[in-house]
Amino acid sequence: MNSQYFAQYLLNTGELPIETIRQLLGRASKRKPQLPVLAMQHGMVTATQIEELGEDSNSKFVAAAIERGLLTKVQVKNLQEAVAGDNLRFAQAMIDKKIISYVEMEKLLKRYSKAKQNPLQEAVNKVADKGLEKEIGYYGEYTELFIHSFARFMGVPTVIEIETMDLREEACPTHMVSQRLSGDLGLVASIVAKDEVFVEMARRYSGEDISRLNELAIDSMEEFLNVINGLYAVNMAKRQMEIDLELPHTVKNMLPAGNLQLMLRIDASIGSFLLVLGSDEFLS
Amino acid sequence: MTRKLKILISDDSKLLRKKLRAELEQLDCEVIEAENGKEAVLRDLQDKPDAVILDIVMPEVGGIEALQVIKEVNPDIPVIMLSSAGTPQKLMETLELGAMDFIQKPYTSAQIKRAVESIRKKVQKNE
Repeated sequence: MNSQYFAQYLLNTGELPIETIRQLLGRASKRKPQLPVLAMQHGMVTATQIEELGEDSNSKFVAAAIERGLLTKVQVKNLQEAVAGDNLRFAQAMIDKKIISYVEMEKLLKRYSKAKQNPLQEAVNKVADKGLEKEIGYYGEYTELFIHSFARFMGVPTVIEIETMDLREEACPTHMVSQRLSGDLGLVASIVAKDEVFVEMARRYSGEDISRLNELAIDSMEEFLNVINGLYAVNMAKRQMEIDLELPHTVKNMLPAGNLQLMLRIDASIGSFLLVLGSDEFLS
Repeated sequence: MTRKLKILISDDSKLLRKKLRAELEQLDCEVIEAENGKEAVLRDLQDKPDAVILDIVMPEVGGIEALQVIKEVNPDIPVIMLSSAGTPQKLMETLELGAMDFIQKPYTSAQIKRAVESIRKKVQKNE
């Protein structure tokens, strides 16, 4: 199972409410998994053994685990050098906040590793209206690329909300950046965000000192969407589908309306925003 | 000692131009900018750059049309396409029109460095 989707899995299965996940996402992006969690994930110690040792800090856990013969110095070195995915960062944030015990976490991670459906696709399927059967595959792939790219370019993990959407959250002032893809597949992708979230996304993507909604903020978000759509076009080309990109554009205080539309609320530690996919676009 | 390369970058994104300018100046290049394909063609005629870096999706005149005109006027000028629209069809189309290379966005510093090295070799060979 993909290392980035643990939080989405927890939301889909009702293990954690969106409010808790929202709080943990910010913490998880800055938190490295500690050795007890890493050792448990690699099957070197059990959760019961960790709880028996009763040591959360790396140094005390290592000393106690070596003394009890549970870990060797070589194993500890390997764990320290291991590259951990976002799922373990999120697991660590849950342990830190004492939301879950090691024993419960061990069971949860096992269930997650056995889950058959991709949690992101599952979330998209849950949110999608009936009548999108033909589009849902493309929309799901686009969403997955978007979520990956968001984490890659902005350093922020996200989840897709699966509850009924309340569009009052998109009260003005908002900005919407949009780009049409044409050719073998007709798709319009839009990001709608409250201005403070829009500015924060622009700041993170550009790496520039952007503190208000200005030309550079809009330009940065248009370029961000353009880059994602370019990557999507390249992916589609592998299936002999040729897609052209049109110029991205940005408008104020509007929500896109259109046919065959999928509207997803994406939650991140920097705030929530809408990702809207449709076969066409009318501004309302 | 090698002379400074004068490179024209054409992209409608201000952010992209700013970032790319910084990369190229670090590689000891002089940079001139254009916001769209039409301006790129004009600046190519006026400023006579050693090479051009062209986006594809731009307002007024797109990168492919600009590439055609620039190559008609100056067939030897090295042109690098730098675009998000890096599909095999676009790649083939631009290479057939005479582009030297195609870099898919987001670019890396290493890709830009390699491109500048290739431009330098081509320019030296032409001189």
